[in-house]
Amino acid sequence: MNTMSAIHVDKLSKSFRLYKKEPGMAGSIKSLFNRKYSEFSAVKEVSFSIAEGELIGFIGPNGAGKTTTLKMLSGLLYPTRGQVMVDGFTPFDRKNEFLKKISLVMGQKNQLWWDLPPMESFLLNKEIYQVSDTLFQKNLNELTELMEIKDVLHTQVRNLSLGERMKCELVAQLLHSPRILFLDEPTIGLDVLMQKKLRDFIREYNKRYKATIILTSHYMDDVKELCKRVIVIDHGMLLFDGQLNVIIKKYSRYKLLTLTFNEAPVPLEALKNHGSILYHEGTRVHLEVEREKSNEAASYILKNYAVADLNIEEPPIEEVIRSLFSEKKRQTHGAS
Amino acid sequence: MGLLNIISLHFQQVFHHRLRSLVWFFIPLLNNLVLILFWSGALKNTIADPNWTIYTATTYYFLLTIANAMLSSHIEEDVANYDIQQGELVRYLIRPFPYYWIKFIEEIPYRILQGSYGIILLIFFSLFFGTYIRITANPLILFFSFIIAVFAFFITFTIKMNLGLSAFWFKDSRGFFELVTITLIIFSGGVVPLYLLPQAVQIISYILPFSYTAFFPIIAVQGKLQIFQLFQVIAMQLVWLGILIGLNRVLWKKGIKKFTAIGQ
Repeated sequence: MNTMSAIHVDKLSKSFRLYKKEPGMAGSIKSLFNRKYSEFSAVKEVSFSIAEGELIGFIGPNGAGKTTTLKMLSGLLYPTRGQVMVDGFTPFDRKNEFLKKISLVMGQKNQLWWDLPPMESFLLNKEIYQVSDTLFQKNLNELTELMEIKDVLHTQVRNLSLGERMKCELVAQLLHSPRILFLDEPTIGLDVLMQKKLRDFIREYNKRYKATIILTSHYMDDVKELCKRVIVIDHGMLLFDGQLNVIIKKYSRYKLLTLTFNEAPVPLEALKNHGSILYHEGTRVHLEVEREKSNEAASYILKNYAVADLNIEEPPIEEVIRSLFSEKKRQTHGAS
Repeated sequence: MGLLNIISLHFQQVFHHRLRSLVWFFIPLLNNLVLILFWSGALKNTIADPNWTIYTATTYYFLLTIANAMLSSHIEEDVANYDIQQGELVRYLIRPFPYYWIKFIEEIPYRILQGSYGIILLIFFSLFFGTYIRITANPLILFFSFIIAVFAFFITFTIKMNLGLSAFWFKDSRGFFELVTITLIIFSGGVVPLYLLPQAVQIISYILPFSYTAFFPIIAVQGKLQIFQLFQVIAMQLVWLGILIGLNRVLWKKGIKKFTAIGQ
């Protein structure tokens, strides 16, 4: 085991026993006497290590096993097999010292008292986590300032907007200064502006407190903006663990050239020699070009045509991940 | 100090729903008013029993109302349906505070508030119909009765908590909960005092834990128990509490490994 790791996971697996009912009345009657169960593997032999202070993205489609893994890391679920160490603790023992160091924020879950103002839930957490008065006041001031929620502290939670509530949830979970954060879809349901504010906050928290953060999100912008390293999981299996730019280089063979010409018509036929045209309207063209040839194509176009603006971009991260999934699927099918 | 703050914060949550507690208090009150009416009629036409007169019956059912409101916990459905089946347990598990105790603290304000309604009603009733209410004036007996009442609450709370924990294994335990609740009502003296039951049933009920949750606290306040009998009751309560808490630990340790946190 890497002793420098804040989180170390070794061949972690979790299976659930599921009841399989045969269809129809006959199946129901049969089930009175004999029931068939099957094993469902939500996480299969996943291994990784995360260093102290790292902020990593944990991504995968629905049902990939992300939340199950987070639940095992935070001590909510008992692993079927494998080992987990979080800051030197076995999470499922749920020792108080361990629970005081971590925090689990679930975007879909309300942990605040619904009928009371958030301040009362903050005070409850202060007592439960045994936070001193001075530290509580310091953290409360810092966090409420960062999150801009000072004016809603005494409003009933049920009367807050989703964005305000989510910010209060985060503050409640951070008042005890956790060193390890598990953020499960923290920006779900929020508007673009609020998502950005939350992302800024997470980045700032990571920087200021050197906190180790695992973030799961369906919004790839969250991952792209916050995480240098990503762990990709699908069907319970680890598909990729490495730097985000590596995954982009490895799984995207194309780059996107966004061109704005000085005047119409644009040389579409000539552009087709360099790649595929994804979009064209007026003087604007989106051209998909092979990664290796993107610089060459850009300089050719700039030299030969009157171009007002040219941008070379990586393709959207969603597409990169999609191509990773389809390549892995092809490999699996090829192997079988 | 921290613990007191946690309890006081839970009081705030309960005070927000002050009418909810009042409505729940009316349930045992109405049940027991019906029983008082029934016995007031029945006792007019039967041979007088010094242990069971209209005065002792009225006192018994008034105290039973308070016991039901103050000492009876109803957490089993919360634990089973919301916490375990729907996964609400997650928010308790990630905090450095034992689940048993946080649920206990959540329950205390409800019991105190509902019990207070009963005590206010008893005082109010005593002002107008004082002769119908006969409780002991011996401070020592009242002190031990208080201890017995506290243990009675611990016993009902732990029984109900253990019932709720069965949801780790069973998907729908509502029928089972009803069955246990009816047994508890009968054997805790919730219908008639246990000394009116046939001898054999009395013996069984004195062995089971249920009689120590309502019947004994009530007759202790009525002054029907000598000091040494009060000690016997406390001893039996401690034995049952030990067994129930032991069972609670086993159920928790085994059950939590089966927790799937579904719905979270």
